[in-house]
Amino acid sequence: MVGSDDLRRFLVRLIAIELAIAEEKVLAARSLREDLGMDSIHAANILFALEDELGIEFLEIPRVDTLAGIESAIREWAATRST
Amino acid sequence: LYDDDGVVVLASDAMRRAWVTGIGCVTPIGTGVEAFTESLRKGRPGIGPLTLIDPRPYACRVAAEVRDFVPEDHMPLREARSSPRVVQFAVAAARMARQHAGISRWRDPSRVAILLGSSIGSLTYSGAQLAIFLERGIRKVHPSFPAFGHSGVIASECAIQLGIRGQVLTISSACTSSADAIGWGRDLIAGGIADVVLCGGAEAPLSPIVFASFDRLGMMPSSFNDSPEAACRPFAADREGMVMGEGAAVLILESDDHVRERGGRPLAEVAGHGATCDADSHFTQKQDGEDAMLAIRLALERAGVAAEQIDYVNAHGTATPQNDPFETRVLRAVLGPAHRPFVSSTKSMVGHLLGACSAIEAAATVVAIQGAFVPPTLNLHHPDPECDLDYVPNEARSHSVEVALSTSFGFGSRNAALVLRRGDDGR
Repeated sequence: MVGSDDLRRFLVRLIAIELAIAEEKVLAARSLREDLGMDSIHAANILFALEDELGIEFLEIPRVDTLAGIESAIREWAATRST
Repeated sequence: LYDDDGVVVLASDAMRRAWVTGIGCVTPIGTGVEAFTESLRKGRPGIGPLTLIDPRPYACRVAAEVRDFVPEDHMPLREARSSPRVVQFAVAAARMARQHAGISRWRDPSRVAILLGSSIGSLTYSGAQLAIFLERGIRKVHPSFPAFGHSGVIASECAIQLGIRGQVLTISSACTSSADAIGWGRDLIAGGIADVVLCGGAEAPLSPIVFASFDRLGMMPSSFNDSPEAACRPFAADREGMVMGEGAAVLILESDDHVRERGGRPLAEVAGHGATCDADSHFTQKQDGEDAMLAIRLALERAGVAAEQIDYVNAHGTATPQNDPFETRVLRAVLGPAHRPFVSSTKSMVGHLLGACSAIEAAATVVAIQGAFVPPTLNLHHPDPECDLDYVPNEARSHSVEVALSTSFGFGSRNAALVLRRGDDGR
């Protein structure tokens, strides 16, 4: 598993590309949906890229709305893998 | 306007004319109109080893691949990473065409249309997704597949990225697709339905399933795997078939008023379009050539041009055993025994782009009109005895081109012809 700083950088870049915005805006946003206009297709693409590039397999599709929320979904997945 | 027999019943001067004012292209012989022109003039082939897919299963291992294309230079990173190659070619060509025309923003986006031809369309992308699904399961199917897995996306993605809000169509009529797109583009202008039409075509067919099918049909050469540049030999006695190519070309068409009011520069006029179908074979044309001749005659008639006025024919010239003598007979019958215009096959340089071939060839024809030169037919040292026209062998010729014809024939026994004419300095 990548370190938490690396993971955050990876996520910020991924979201910025998907939403076609600057990375600073991703870091400043409280809600990806409300502040950055992320829709369900953007969210599906972000989750797909996480699954594809990090080898994650979410059991349930997480509700993606904040950077911290995505990070915690990834941590939960990692915890189930290690037990 | 035409009656049931395709005869003009409303004089052409009562209709608006369609001017080509910009060209954008992504081709195996260069991206952008300058590189494309230079290669046509120098007779530089874009055919090389097949590298985009594993060549080992095929008898033919050559292709006309686009080698200098960087998607990120033409679109946002997200689209550059996720959209199909055919869409990337189309978007890049459309952007370059608009830039070449000197249009920075649309005066009225609802009066701008885009019509792009593609035969294979999104099949390359869909085939790859299907392979992922079969090999790795449902979780690995990309969520964007519904948006990108249909051929309509080729035109709609251009519309989204360039803010085009009129008619947005992908036309799929095999190897006549983009001649039909350009012809219908002309008609949208002529009929007052649009002021600006982006028209042309895009194709990215180099996928295992498409390549395998043409290889199994025996339509592609197998003796030139070690000398790819010699593989495409239109009208030659030792020709073996077509070389599959990829890329896109988009022309900007504008009405008289639109080009005049914004101070644009007409490069040529799309003066006429004719399209017919033999309604016969899934693959080839009927050997009597009647319907093919009719398509050319309709294009001439609609342009108000006599056959003797044609200076240059950009031929379909696929280099298959079937096409070249057939096309020669058709041209001889329509143009008359005494008239000998230049006839060349630019497929010897760019390969056969299937549904985008007529777009690349219309672009090459406009370039020829503008540059006063006739692009050559490469690899023509020993013509087929049944092919007895002036095919401009091996080297371009400097010569003015006032009126040109571009011919296309496609699977489903389709025929199409375009007449392009020099602009008389803005009318």
